[in-house]
Amino acid sequence: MKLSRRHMLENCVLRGGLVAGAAAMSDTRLLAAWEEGEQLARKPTPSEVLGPFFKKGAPNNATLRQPGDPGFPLHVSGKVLNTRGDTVEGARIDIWQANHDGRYDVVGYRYRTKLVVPAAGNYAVETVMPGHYEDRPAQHIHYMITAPGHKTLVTQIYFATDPFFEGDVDKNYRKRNIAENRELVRPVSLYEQGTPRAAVTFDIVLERA
Amino acid sequence: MRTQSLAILLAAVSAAAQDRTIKSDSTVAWVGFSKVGVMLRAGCADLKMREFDVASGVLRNSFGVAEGEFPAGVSPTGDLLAVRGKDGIAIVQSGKVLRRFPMNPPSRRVAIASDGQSIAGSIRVAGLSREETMRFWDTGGKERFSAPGGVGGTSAIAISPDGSALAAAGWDTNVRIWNAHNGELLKLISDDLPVAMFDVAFTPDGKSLAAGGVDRTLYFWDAKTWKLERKLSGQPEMIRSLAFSADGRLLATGGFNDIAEKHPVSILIWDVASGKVLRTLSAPHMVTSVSLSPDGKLLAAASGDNLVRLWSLH
Repeated sequence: MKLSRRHMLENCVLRGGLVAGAAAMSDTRLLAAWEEGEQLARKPTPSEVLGPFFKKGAPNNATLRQPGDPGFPLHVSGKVLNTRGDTVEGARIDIWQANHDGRYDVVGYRYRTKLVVPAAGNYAVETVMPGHYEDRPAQHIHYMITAPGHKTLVTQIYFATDPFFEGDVDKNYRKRNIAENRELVRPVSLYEQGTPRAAVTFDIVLERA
Repeated sequence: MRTQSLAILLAAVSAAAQDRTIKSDSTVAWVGFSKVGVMLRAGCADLKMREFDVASGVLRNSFGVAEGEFPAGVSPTGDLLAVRGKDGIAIVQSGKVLRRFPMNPPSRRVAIASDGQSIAGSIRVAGLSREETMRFWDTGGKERFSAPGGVGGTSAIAISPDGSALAAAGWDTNVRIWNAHNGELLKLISDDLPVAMFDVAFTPDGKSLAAGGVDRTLYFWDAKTWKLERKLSGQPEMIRSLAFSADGRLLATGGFNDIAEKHPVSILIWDVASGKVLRTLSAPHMVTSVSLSPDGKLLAAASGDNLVRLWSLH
């Protein structure tokens, strides 16, 4: 098991008292504590429903928003990690979402991609804020992530700025039983680059198979 | 604007083409004709099964299920209803519990064999992932097998007419076929399908499996080799529901065209042998269920409101 100094430090910090108390601990206890810290380094990302509109065979395309597309420009980025906090090799991310009008492309592959994640573990897409639709009225982006040696993860992200949450995500994230996990309602950074834009980060932590 | 005028036009066509309606007190989610075609059954959103006299449209019977229980499946003729409770699934006929299949947690969606002696259901595996397990139970609640059922959930389940095969369509876009006796995976249909299938059904002779879904295409597989036999296109929308006539000559498919707004959709009547569309009807919204009467002369459809729509096909 290869571990970087950063990981060791992170684990020590996570464990709280370990740094201060290390001198007083036996090797066995230190190792046990360290392993415990290892396991807790990253909690696996919760899953969410897959929904009816997944489509196989999407192109590996990081630019989903085309010139002239209606909708608020959105940049989504993050990393694919394992529970030790290391990047995962060979990950693929299917991302699909409704367009600005709340419609999925079921004929072609608009607002659909299957990203090949590089060894550094980073991914990013240029898209638009997904639209609202009646059956599932919180804006969301679907994810399916696969990687050798890891469990397939089906999940979604939601947006803290969505009027659906009425300005209070903690209170309203379970409204109408749509979002199941608070951490999947992502904070949104708004910025200007010529025009107003939004950015969201979403790191994905996979469980081992 | 153009969409709106099209919607109005289609609604007008619908009103003209539809022969009559039977009104229910609650939203109709599922429709089916009884074996002799005298009764029409409607599974409703208030958790009641209503039975109407087909000829007069008069409500003959209405039975509910215990509080906190939910319908999870219906046999092809609606004679048997699978009801989901805290401790498992109960098979109910005319309001009476015939037998119970204890399970924890109970399946959300089950298929009932045509003889009512077994059921199949899919359950999400405990834990973080969205993996599914397909399970099959015999009379008396004895589990015959359980098998991995993909990720993301099951959209439709069908048991072959002779009870030998079990087919399930998943939201992961795959269709899985198991030997219903021992749980052996006979076929994983994956490459044929880019998108999820909303509904699956065996032909009444058991020789083929049909499926329709998101890509508006009807698929038929040979139920011995599981090779794709043919694909039919013609439905202008996604295919949400399908049902064969008892003699297998006709197939009805109901459409679903938009999740963002309610729009009229088509119901197509196909000649199974030639693959040709014989009739195109219109319903006001997503058709959650279609059924052909045993003599093939009547079509019933549920479309998200409290009406059962009926058309005469001859």
